[in-house]
Amino acid sequence: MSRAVHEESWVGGYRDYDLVKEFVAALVAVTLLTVGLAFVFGSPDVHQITLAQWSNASPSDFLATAATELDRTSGSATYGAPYTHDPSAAQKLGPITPQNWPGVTKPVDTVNDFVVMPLRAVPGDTQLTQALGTWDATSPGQRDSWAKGYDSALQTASGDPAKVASGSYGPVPVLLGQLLRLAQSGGLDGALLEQGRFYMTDYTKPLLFLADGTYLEDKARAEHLGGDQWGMMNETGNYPGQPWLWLYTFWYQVKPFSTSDNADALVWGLMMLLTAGFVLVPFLPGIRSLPRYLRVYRLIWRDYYRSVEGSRQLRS
Amino acid sequence: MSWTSTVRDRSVEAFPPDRLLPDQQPVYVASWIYVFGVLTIASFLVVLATGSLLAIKGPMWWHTSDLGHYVNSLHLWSVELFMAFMVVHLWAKFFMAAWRGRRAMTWITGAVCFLASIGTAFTGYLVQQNLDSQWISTQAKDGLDSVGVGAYFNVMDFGQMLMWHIALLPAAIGVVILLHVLLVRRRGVVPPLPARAGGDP
Amino acid sequence: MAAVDLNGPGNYVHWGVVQISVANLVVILLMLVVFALALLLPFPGRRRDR
Repeated sequence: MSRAVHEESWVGGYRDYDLVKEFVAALVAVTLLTVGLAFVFGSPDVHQITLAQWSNASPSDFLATAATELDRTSGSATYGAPYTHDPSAAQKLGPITPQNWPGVTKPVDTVNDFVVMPLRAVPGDTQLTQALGTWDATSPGQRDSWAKGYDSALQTASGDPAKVASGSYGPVPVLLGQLLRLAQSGGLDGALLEQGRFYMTDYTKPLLFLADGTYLEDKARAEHLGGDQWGMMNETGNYPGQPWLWLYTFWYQVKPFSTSDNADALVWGLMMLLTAGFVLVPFLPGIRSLPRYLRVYRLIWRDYYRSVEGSRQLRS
Repeated sequence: MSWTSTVRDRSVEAFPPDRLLPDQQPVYVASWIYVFGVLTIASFLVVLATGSLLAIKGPMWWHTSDLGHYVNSLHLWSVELFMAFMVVHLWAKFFMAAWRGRRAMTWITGAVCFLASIGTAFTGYLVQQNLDSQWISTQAKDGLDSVGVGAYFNVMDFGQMLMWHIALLPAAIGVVILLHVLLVRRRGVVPPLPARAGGDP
Repeated sequence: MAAVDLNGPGNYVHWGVVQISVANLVVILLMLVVFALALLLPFPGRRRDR
């Protein structure tokens, strides 16, 4: 018989084997293990952060972030597709920019969505109403100039509005100050999520705003969840995380990925390639021969080889 | 010939009952390493069952109820076991070069199961509605957005991610597992690599 | 609620560029041990050639 036929179908001996009993045993074993592990170790649940919590715990970081939303320099505002129109912002995968291909499918206007529209809903504050009126009556260029001026002055003042140098900021200090108050009262969480609707299941806007600041990141890094901490593999506390993501996160730890602006595109492009290779192992010369050279199979089938090679030795 | 009788006859031809559910295995199937496939399937069923328990009371239950939290723990650990058994099974199949003898599709369906499971676990983390979810979603979006996928698969959209997690992905995995097991039954368990020089046993 | 409380600051092992949680390391090592045991432990069963 040729080797190919031998590999396809077995014509040798069989033994009794109870598959259904094996399955039931496996089910019982897994159930018991699961019940036991869950009882002993439980599961993690580190509480979510609200914008209220963020703005109360770290008002300077909140204000600084809000200033970058208003002058469109935040991470979200300068992201490009799928949130904003800026083809130059896309990550490059060699010569191509797949980030741009779908276009802006989830439009986010940080100025209006994150700052102005939530403030419009705040009732009975004459100072705010006047500030909004001034804002509305001004050209976009002037608004931008005020916002940028205040942003950099705030940075110089380490996020403390009381220490901001005097300058021409228009209604911006009032707008941002009121946004901080709105956030601290808990009103901004709802406003960012609902955006005028009643039911909502899409948290894109509050999450983008949250992630533009450093509060969320600080909390995450404290739990070793940061990108350069192999964070993709980790879970909060001492719980096991996702060890199967080891190769995905590995690339982010080493050059050239760790220092590249295009890290995400490069890593995901590389992983798509390696994933294709993994799926197609049977067709990859060299890789598909590895098991033969590594010889672990000799251990798995040792009884079979003993009986076959033993009997051949007897014959010869 | 009707469609019905064609489907029935082809099915029975491909999978006669004693091939679909044999009560014998080749003599070389005699290692504990062979139980990891069935352990993976058993774990998958426990994952589905515990997930279903969570579905009964909805996604917020585990934050506000001790029983809910325990059920969440059941779901987490059944997933850890599922992934662990699957990977050990994968290691075994690699070292056996189990794709030999026209079994490439068995390997491929297995690999797809593995990848789909990673994706399903990922969406599970996203719908926990805690700090993990907030961080994982805002980080993962960068990877997905950079290759254009994030424009359609929005990890910050809780509703979308929950439906992928409890409906689309488990169904896909279930179908692929079924194909995978049927392929194993069709081709039989892969025979050992040839014995030492000397040819056939 | 759980018998062993895994909340609190995580324990991590550092080795060059590698940083791995003790929890993940334990999981991986356990898997390797289980794999080795599965290969080495004798599997019971009658051999009845047909």
